[in-house]
Amino acid sequence: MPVEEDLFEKLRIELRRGSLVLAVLGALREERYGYTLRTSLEAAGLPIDEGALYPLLRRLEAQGLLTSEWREEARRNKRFYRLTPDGLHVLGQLLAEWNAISESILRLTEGEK
Amino acid sequence: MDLIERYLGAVRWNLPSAKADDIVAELADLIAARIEDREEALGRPLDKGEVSQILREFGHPLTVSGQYHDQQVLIGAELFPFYWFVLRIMLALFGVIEVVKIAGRVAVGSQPFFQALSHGLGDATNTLLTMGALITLIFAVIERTAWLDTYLARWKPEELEELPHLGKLRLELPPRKRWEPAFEIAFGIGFLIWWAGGFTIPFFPHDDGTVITAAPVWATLYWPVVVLVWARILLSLIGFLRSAWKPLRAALILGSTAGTLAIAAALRAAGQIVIVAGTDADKVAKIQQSLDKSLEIAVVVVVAISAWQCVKELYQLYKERR
Repeated sequence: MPVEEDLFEKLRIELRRGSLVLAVLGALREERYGYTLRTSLEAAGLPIDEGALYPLLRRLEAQGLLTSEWREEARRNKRFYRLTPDGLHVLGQLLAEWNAISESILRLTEGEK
Repeated sequence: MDLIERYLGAVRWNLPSAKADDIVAELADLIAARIEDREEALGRPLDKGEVSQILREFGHPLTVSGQYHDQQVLIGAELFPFYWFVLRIMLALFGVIEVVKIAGRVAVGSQPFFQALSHGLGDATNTLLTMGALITLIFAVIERTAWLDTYLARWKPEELEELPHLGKLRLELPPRKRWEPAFEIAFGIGFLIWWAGGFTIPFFPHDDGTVITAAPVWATLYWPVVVLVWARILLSLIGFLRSAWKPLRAALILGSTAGTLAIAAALRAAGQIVIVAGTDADKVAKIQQSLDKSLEIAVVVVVAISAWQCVKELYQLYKERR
């Protein structure tokens, strides 16, 4: 049923959207540059549109959760991102929240199994 | 490369100017990395179509550049229900006013029917579009200033409007049409525009030899009629927006009924409501007599309807008490 698939896709995107910030912050515990960040997220099963990822990095930087610097690597200037101490703290809080949500959902859906 | 430069140029056009160079430099590097990666996988340089495909996957320039702006939406999901509510009410209200104006314009008959209709529809479209644009602009400012957050932080359920027609009274009272007050307000405003000379409706048909004009009594009743119609508009407005203000509603019902009766008494005392003039004296006398008689009956009917309406509205008001 095309309508149901469409609806599922919308709900899926909505569900994933909230988790992307967590995924990005988690991946940036170690320094990465934009492109390798995207490929690593994709490899981990969380592909993000480039048009959304790079502006998201800027927003997180403006919010003080990330820091960045331009460096030359492989004969090209690249912008590298990593977590700030504030970013690390927020990541910890978000992970705790994520785990709590996950446990709640599991508890609520246990009867379904 | 030309395609990538064109793409980056299109992205840059809509970027925040302070960060544009930095963002474009980063995007140029990311696109280059993506192309290199693909070339490495294929073991050959990409052709123009493949580069185009990569840029398509990156996103439309306006989508990409738009994501770098602080404000992502004109009216957000939280504010939208408020915006939609106000927009619908205002458009309905002004829509009815415009319909009344079109009806007036067509009834005047000074223009051919279709010309009057097309002018009226043109004016109505302008008014409604301007109204929609103004409301949208106001709500965009509200979104920008985050005023809704302040409001939502301090609103109280006690301040909510009582809606008796949603409760048990629905079964006891004749169903009150949802847009009835809007129609009353619109017709009131339409009448006031006509009364002020905004447009003219020839009430009484006349032939070449006979002219029917308003009697002098109407000149003295001009302002009382204006006040009366405003009182009815105010009553509809309060009934729609603040139905809990029952003492004021009762006062307006009683006041407007008293006003209607006073105006009817003044008309009856005047004896003549219209004056017929013409060259044929017999014909004029006959028309004057029949009009005086029928208008006298009309005044009595208006008095009876007003009294009945007053009792009915006061009874409804009484029944609205919880």
